[in-house]
Amino acid sequence: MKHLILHVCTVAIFLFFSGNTLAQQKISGEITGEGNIALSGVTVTEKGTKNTVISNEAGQYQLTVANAKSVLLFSYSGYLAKQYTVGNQTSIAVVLDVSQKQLDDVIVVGYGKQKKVTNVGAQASISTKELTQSPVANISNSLVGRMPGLFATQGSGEPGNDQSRILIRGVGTFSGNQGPLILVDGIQVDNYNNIDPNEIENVTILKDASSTAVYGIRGANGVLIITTKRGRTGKPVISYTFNNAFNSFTGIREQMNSFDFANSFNQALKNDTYVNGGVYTPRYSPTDLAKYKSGEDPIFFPNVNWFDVLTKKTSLQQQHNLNIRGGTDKVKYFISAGAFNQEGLFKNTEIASGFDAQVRYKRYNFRSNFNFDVTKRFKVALDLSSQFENRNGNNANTSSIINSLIGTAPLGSPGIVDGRIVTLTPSGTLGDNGANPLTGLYSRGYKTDFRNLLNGSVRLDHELDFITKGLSVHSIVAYQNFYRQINVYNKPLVSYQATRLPNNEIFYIKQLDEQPFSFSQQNPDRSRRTTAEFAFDYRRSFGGHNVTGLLLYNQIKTFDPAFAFGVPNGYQSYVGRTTYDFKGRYLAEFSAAYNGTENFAPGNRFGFFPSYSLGWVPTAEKFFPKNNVLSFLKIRGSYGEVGNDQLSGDFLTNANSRFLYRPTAFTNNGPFASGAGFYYWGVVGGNYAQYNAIREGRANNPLLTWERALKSNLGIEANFWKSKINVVVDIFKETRDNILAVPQTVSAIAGTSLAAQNLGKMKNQGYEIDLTYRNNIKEFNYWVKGNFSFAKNTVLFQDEVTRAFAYQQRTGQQFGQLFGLVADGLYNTFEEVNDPKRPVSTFVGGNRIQPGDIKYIDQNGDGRIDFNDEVPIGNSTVPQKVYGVSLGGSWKGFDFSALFQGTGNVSLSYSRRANQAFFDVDPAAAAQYLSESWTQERFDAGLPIKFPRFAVGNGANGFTHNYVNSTYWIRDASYVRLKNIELGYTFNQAFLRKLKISSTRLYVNANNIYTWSNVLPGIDPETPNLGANLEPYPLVRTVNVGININF
Amino acid sequence: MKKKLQIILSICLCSIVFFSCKKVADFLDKPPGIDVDENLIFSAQVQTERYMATLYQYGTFAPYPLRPADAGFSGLPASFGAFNGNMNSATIGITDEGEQSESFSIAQDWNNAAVTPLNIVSREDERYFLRWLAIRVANIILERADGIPDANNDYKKMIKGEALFIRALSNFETFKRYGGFPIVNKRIITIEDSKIARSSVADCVAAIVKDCDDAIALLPVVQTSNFTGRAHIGAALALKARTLLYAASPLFNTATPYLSLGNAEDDKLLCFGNADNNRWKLAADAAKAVLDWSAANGFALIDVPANRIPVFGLGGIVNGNYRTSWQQPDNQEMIFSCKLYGAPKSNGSFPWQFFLPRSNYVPNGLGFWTPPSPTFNFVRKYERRDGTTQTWDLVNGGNDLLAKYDQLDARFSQTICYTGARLHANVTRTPIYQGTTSDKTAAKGGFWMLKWIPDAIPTLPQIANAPIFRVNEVLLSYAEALNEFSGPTPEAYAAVNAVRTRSGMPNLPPGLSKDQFRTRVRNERDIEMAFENYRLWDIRRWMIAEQDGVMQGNMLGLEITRLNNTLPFPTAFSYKSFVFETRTFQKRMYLHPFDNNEVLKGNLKQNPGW
Repeated sequence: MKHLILHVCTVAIFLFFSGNTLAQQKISGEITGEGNIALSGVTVTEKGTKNTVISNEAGQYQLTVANAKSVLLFSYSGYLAKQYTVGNQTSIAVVLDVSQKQLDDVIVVGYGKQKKVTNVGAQASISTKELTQSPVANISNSLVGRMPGLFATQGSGEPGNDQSRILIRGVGTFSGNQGPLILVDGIQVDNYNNIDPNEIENVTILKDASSTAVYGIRGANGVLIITTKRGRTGKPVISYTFNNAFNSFTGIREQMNSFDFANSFNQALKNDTYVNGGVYTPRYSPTDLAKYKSGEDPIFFPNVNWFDVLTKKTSLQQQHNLNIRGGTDKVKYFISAGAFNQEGLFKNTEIASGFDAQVRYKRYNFRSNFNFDVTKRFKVALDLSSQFENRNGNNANTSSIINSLIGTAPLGSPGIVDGRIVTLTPSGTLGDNGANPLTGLYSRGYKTDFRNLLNGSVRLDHELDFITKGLSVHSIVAYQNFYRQINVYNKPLVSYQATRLPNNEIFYIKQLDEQPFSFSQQNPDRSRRTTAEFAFDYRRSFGGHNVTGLLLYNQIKTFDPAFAFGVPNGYQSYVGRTTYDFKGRYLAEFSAAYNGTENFAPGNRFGFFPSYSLGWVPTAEKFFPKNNVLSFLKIRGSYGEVGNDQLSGDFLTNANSRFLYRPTAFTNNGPFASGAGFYYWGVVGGNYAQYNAIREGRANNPLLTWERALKSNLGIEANFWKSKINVVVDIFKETRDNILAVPQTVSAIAGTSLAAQNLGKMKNQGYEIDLTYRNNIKEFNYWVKGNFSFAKNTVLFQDEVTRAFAYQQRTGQQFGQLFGLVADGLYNTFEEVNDPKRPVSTFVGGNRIQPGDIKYIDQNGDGRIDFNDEVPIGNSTVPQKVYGVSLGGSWKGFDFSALFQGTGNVSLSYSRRANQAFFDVDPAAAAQYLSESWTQERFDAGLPIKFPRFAVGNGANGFTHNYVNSTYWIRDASYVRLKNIELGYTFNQAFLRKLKISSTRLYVNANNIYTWSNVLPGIDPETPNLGANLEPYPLVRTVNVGININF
Repeated sequence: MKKKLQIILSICLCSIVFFSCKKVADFLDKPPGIDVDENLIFSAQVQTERYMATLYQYGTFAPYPLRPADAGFSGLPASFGAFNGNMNSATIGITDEGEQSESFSIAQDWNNAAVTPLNIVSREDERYFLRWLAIRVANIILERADGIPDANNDYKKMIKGEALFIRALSNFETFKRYGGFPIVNKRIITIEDSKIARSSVADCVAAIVKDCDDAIALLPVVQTSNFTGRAHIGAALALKARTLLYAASPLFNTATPYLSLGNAEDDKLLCFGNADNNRWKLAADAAKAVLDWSAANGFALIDVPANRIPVFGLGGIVNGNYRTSWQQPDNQEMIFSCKLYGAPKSNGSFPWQFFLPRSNYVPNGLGFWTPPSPTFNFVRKYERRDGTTQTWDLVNGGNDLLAKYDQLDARFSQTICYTGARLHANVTRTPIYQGTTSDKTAAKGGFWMLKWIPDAIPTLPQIANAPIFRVNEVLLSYAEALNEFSGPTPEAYAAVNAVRTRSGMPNLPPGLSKDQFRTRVRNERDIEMAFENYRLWDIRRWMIAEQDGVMQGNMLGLEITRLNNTLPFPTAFSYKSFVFETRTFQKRMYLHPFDNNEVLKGNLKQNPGW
């Protein structure tokens, strides 16, 4: 303290003396920026003094400096700073250049910002420009392939439901929540996908312990921070953007036509007789087949392509955004309003007039960010934003509509005839997917799903340099409110059954009378969250010693009726961080969080999460030879501990997961029964009565604690040839323990479900490379960026049972590793099948294997093919490798960019719709490619055979043998995608100025343009196998035309 | 000064945020309290009664399948196994009693010998996990009963007796499926506690019998009528008798098991390791004890002489003593029954929708899934009403089907729905013949089930009767055990004849040899206890599964053709038997395999051959 006072005095004295002036000189001038626009709000400082002015609305400044040796420093956010020695000039006109790496100077970190050059954490970020290159509805889809360490998978293209699942550095836990913590302007949010990309300044991911330890118990899975745009001093800039896009499916599965279908179906029946010992009776006679071939009777022998009946080739997507950005030296503002409208690709969706069950996603975004400089030291920021979302569509799950679309045979019904939905059998007898998928689409009704999210926050900042220089304090209060309401309108389907009258006329029997709509409303979802934060910041330089410090208290409380027991979820954090650097050469950081949550028992609620980092910048050393090749080099390393209290995906909402530390409760309808817990005694017809039963609830675990991640990271950042090439390489290793898992080795004789314990252990390690190259050939500026990420996890311990064969153990494998039999082609002849040495198949009754069945490898040599022969095959459905390569350039008014993106070491397990035909009660459709299934004729003719023999049914007839999980159906789902291209033109300034427009850019961009992969045609390698009777809405290709006008 | 003020003001502003929130130390919420815990359950008799309901809910079972929701078990977590509780677990389609007609039925996995340790839980033993739950509840009650402050000694004794009974019942159900099992006599708390190995058959039988004996010492002689359904001495005696009957049977009462585990010590997990005829004596004495108890306490066969042979017109309801015995809940021959089924259930809910044929097989049948179709193998077991064997022409068939039916034991028309018979109030003439939807591809045996189906089910929801111990079974067990121990004694004759008499059947002919008597008493048991989940276990304990047409070999059905078009229903039919299926049985199927995942946990030795 004594030292501090001394220091304050010294500084004060110094300032006093430096106030003396000599030969003063007046300087003025105009400051312009890119496109010759006058820049207001530029800070003009006489270097080494406190003599500062800010340029006015016309970009003019005026300043009196000490003497001719004075140096003027012009700095403006987003532009490269410039300095001029005054000399004998009285007027200096300044043109500022846009910073190529505008965000490189200062980067977003947890609870603040840091200088990039001295930061020692592993993070990555992208800005608005890249975000808005992707004409997509949500943020997550525009991050794909653009940041090292970010693993994204998009599972559906359904409007309003097409967001990607984001993982940072892969998977770190096998039972806890795997997703990152999401923050918008420092406030934790649940959904970030509905934010208008035009509102966003920057998206940053924090990866290592150094950068996430401040989030402590919430930080183990990485952090994704979105920073929105704020006002800038200057006259208001009004920016309007309009995008108009066309969506189409990236791929649809071609189905067999009726003739091929009927033929293959007969073949399947024939094959099955070998298994069931029956007599082959073809379902389709030669006359039927001839009619399917000729198409002479389209009503009773139809050949319907259901994709044509039910889907459109293209649908519309539109986006408007209008924002105003500006400010004075007292008030800065950014106000934005946006509208987004995306339509699905269904067709013939009008259930009744005015009730169009087309999938439709509409969104309205509002944001206003204000900054007030109340006094010189006291600043206030006020942010308000809201997102309104309207999802309309069919009340049926879209995946089940697509399923019936893909699953319906081409000959089940004639589809729509004269505007009527026609079936060939009485409605209902074949189920939704039997005859006519339209029955499924129409009979579930129409749904509106309205959601609103309201966010508000106030931040107060105050400098406390009267206590000590560099000290300031801030506090934040934020409030979020979410509301969701679903309305369902239902109306029984009116369909018609076709029959042929004796006079050969076709008559359509109405299956049901028209009935009015019924209406139902689902209980609204509501939640709210309050966040409060109070912190001391300190930032100061002593000679070459730069020190920063942060002491922060943060509390979050979320109220949601869906939380188990109705208890709100709270977090409390005490955070400390200090960074130190000596002249940008030696860097050190220590940060720590002391976090608590009510998820654990009182007494066990708080945990301490420290992290330590060191860095060295050799290029800043005096001994380092100045050269043009290696202009910057930084080596950094970090080690720390972070936590994850979300021990399972439904940790807060499931009564069996939440408050697991409480003593075992007895419950009427708890863990084992959602229904009645009753027994009955007494004489039936007499005194028979119901008695309430009560059960022992789930066992407890009083020692429950958070998952603990020990993370280490080593990184190198280097710039070559004056930043023409930037390289960042990181290698990381994480060990996660305390993963919550139910012990698997407890025998069932215990008669209870033992409580989950913090027993699991997992490791995750990998590396990331990020490369940027920028250069220009005269006026042609171009750049190439590449990033590659690899993360491989291993489950180290999960109390797994000792399986019969070592190769079956799941422990030691990656999370989600697929298991299956190893296929070795097909049996082609009865000689092979009847070979006494052929292993017995336990998947078909009586071991009745026939030519065209899959040959499996008997791993354990016991002469039987059973589940004990399953070995790890392929990978998991989460990729181990992701990469992206983007390139672009500009020449005069033109600009161009393209993004290629891909994954590796990932597997896809085909859905049964994809690899089987005819498995439903009434046979389902078959994909066209299944024509290459094994038949004796194809085999004899030497034609290519890619699939096993046809079969009918869902378990009988030896069906199981060919469709158990095996290498035949688990495919490498690696892919390379031309994800995004953009071509733009910015109009000439002089012409536009006459129209009072400062800049206008026209552009065309497209998303999901082309994909290279090994999966079957019409299946996207990213879309998951959703299980029986669900098929994902295919991904869409978007082609967009947009204009951006600035006034 | 102004500046200072401003500074102070702004610090205050900043701090308001900080301090206006709840006190920092109290910010994190308290969890909700535990309203009801184990101590509360045992704090008063009225609380304990709720746990007694749980004991029975877990520990008792119906002879037919119930879905979890209908049994009050919806939402069972996966860790309790595949408790689908649907039609799949009915044992009728597994044995010669019937053929499961639904294509997705898993009964076929038994008939194809495709049951494995991986699928056994879903193929028959869906209650495997529930039984251990029941045993845990019983152990907790035994541990805590004495500490209930306001309960008197009688109550404490009673609930301990009930707990012992349910523990013994659960153990018996495990024993009959797997042989020796891990004996769990106290609550398991740690993972190590759960590593209990299987005990020998001898020890397991002794443990069950001991629990029964202890229960008998504690339980009331009978329960008051409003506690009908709770265990009393009779239930424990009946369980003891059944246990000893199984123990004395050839499967267990032998020196060498059906397959060996490789050494004599391990083989004792499968059988006693010696054959001892005295075990039949123990079984007979135990059965006698039940009969003595029932005679003293008003439990007896329903035998109204006028109702021995039901009289009914065409399409009329068939009501006789026998039908009453299975249809009427809480009747006088019901020693103990499962009362899990709760409220009356309509035809669309379980168990009825499982017993009723699909409406597209039998118009108005009202079934959602389809019951097993009784086989011709089974129907051939019915004697004529005069006690002689019915003759069927298996080669050529015949044109006198209805006449043949008419001659059969009165229990036939009270068990089986045949062509022209009444299924229930909405189907008075059930069409089962070629050209109807109940042809030989749907009703493969040529019959539908009638047993369990209440006549009024189409209109009125009905309570399903779920007997576990009945007097008729005890009589037949008594006769069987006596005969095995000392030949067909008069007591053995009397027991079987009592059962036959009440259904209008003549006494067994005198002078039968031990073997002849055995054949007759086994046939009597098949007929009397048909479709009540006895046959599979009897087949296994008698070790007759490999006999042709039992669980191996040809299964016969009837191809029935109408011979006229008389309205409202044809009056003559021809029959012809055909083989609808050839079944496979493997020796290892004499005992269930333990679930594979449970074996991998290390404490259970797998049964031989699996």
